Amino acid sequence: MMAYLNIQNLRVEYVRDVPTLDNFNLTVNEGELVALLGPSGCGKTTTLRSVAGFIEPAAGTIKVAEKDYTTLPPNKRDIGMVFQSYALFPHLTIFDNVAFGLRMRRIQRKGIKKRVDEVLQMVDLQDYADRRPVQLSGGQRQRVALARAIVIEPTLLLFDEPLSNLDAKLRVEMRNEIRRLQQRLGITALYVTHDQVEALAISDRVVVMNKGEIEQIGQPEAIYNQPETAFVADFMGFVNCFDADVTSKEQSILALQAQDYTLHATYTGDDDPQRVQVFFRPDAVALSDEPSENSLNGQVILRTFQGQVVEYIVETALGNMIIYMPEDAPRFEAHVTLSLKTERLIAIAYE
Amino acid sequence: MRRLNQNRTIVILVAPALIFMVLFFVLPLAFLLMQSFQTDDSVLTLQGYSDFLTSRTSRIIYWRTLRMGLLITGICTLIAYPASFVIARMPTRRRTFLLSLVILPLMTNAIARTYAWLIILGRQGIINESLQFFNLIDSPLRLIFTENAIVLGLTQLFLPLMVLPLVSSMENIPEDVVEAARSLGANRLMVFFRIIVPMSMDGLVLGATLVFTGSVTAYVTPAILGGTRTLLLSTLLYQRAVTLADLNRGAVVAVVMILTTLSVNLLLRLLRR
Amino acid sequence: MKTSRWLYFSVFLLYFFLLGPFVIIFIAAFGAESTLAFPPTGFSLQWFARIVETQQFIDSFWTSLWIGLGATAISLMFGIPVAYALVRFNFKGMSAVETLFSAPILVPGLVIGFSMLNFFVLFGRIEVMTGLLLGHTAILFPYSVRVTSVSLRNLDPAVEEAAVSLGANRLRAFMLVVLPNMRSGIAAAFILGFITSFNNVPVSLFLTGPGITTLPISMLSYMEYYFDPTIAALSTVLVIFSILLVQLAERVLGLSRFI
Repeated sequence: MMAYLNIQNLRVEYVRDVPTLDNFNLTVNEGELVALLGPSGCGKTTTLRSVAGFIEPAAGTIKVAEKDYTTLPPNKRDIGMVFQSYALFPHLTIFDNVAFGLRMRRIQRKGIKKRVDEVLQMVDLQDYADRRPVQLSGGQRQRVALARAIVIEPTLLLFDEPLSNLDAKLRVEMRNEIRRLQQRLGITALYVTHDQVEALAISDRVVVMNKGEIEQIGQPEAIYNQPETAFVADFMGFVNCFDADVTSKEQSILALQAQDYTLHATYTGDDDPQRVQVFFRPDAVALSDEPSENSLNGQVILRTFQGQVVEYIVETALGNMIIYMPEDAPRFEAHVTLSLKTERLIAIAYE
Repeated sequence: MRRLNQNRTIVILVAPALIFMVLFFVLPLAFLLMQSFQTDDSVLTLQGYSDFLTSRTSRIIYWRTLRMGLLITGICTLIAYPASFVIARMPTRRRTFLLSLVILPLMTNAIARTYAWLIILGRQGIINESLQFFNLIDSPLRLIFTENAIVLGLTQLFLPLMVLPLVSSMENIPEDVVEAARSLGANRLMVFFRIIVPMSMDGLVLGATLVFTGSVTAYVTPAILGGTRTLLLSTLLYQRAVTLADLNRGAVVAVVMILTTLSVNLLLRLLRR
Repeated sequence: MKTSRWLYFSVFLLYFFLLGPFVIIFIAAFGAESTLAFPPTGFSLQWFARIVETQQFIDSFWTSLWIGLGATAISLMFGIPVAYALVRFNFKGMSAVETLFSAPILVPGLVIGFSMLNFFVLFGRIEVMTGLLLGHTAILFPYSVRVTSVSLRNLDPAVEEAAVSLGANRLRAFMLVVLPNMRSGIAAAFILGFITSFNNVPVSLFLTGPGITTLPISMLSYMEYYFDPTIAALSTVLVIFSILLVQLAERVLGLSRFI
């Protein structure tokens, strides 16, 4: 597939000679929704705003459908953008908000009416055309923002943390609605968020960013199950971690020695690392009665009931581990054996 | 490239107003400052300032202006402080109404606001008439054109400027802080001095700055209630500049006035931190 | 409780002091005597009639009105762009610009008026109306910049970016999206500016000239020659005028929040 959005060697400086982004490369295919995921300050919003044209890159190029956008003014880009604060025009009705972009394009009155009605229908707001933004709920405002962005038939849709002002239930609804519309219209989209679940749920590919660098690009399943860096593992909820020495490597399985334990873990890299960090999730553990191949011994030092699961903190020779159990199995201060599956133990080489 | 654009945008936005202000505000003031260092023969000299400092009249007027400024600030504080405390604790609607009554006088010109004192303090005013009616005096007292008349007039004029900042700083003291102090064993008086006073300090200092600088520079009230008999810095400036047409010595008074208000402003701004 | 009774007394004292003089002026304005005696012995509307008969008041009222409207309009026209630059951009010399545009509040009005008079004289005679207009415009900048800044600060900058991303250039985005949302700030600045100019004495004192004077200045000069209650009547009219203006402001600003 041909790259539709093509960012090459992008460099952005807010302060002279201090790059926030440097040598940043990213391609997005036509019709794809790519999520930029990372903590605040990782450069995801900067990337988005560079594509929108609100930030002038110090170096590099941005192309959309082979057309050079790098120095094109933001109002000539035909990009639809959905803002975190919605950024609706407070003084205009919902109809006029949505019609704004069309009026800027000097489309005839009749055409505007038809297009706006169509799009309002799409987001299920046809009955709200004469209201003003203040009269709408958060979810409705978000749908207006979405309608306003897609009505201009944009070359590209940009989302800047669009759901962060909504409550949990609405967030899921809106997430699905955005995805449904984006797929139906076949618009290419870039979606910035700091919420892992949201990024995984909505996108075709996830770009995990940290300190202006891309840590990992991949499909949601790959990002979730096979983190390639310690940062991604940590960000994706691999809260348990210990150090180990590599004794041998066979295809993607490493034999490890961590203090007195001999363990096997999965490794996706092509090289032969000497020393690795091993990560696993709280739910990747089973309890067993006797020590087996991949197991750790420990003692429960805290148990807290959390509804669906019970969380235990288990003290082991490799540090405290957090594990989730579906039912209230061991007692407080009980000695337990944690049995770990090789495919769910992820080894990551020290840089 | 866009950075250049941004600089150009800022210049386009700011330049017209900036040119206006430099031309019709900064340059006149600079010219005034220059004038204060000149005499009729147009030489650079400190003569004007040394005359001002050595002249008995101008020294009396300067100290009178400062003294009255302090006195007015003090009286305004005494009345406005407890009153603001009460107003700040009132329910929103009543507070809004009372504050609009405080703002109303500010919307009216100083002459209308001072004129009543002529009726109260004049030869045939309320006070003289009633004193004569009760045979307490034989002939009318001279109440007008005195320092006290000016103090009364300016206190009334500037009370709103003390009340408004005080109320807004006292509104911001959360009720739970007061309750917390009470629960920790503070009595009302301790709450007042340990909580209310420190937390409304900003409002008090701002109010005091406004009232003091206002009193030291006000013209209308001293002109009406002090006349030429009880001159203040402002009426002295007018007299020298317009009545005597002595622009250079008027400029000296103007510079002294600016220096006084600026130094008080700076001093109290330091206090606010 | 003793303390609270004392506290309430201070509120009474405050309003007695603030509003008492107005009450006296109202009463005096309807008096029959031709001197400032109190209380008046008869009722009369002659002093109100006297206002309208005095050509000086009529002329100076119009002068004040035009100067107030003109100076406020000019200071807003120049001041709104400054407010926009201060709120939306970061630039070198920003705090200097901010200080300069709030300076006219810090410098005594009398000094501003005096310095302008001297300066204008330097360039030969400037027309009185022009001089008044320039002087009043300069002292209104702090209000027009600061008050409009507040309403700009309350407007989400993303709203403007949204307009730009939808195809508007910066100027159109400003005219179509920013300006309409600054309405209440501009209205507030306009009313505040107009009142400040309309009531100004210290600057006008120096800049009025032969034949052309503002209302407050003509009130002052009338008081030098006459001791009748005309000024009380005129003050009464002005107080009512300012009550109406405050009401209007409340209406305009209050309503705009719901439109």
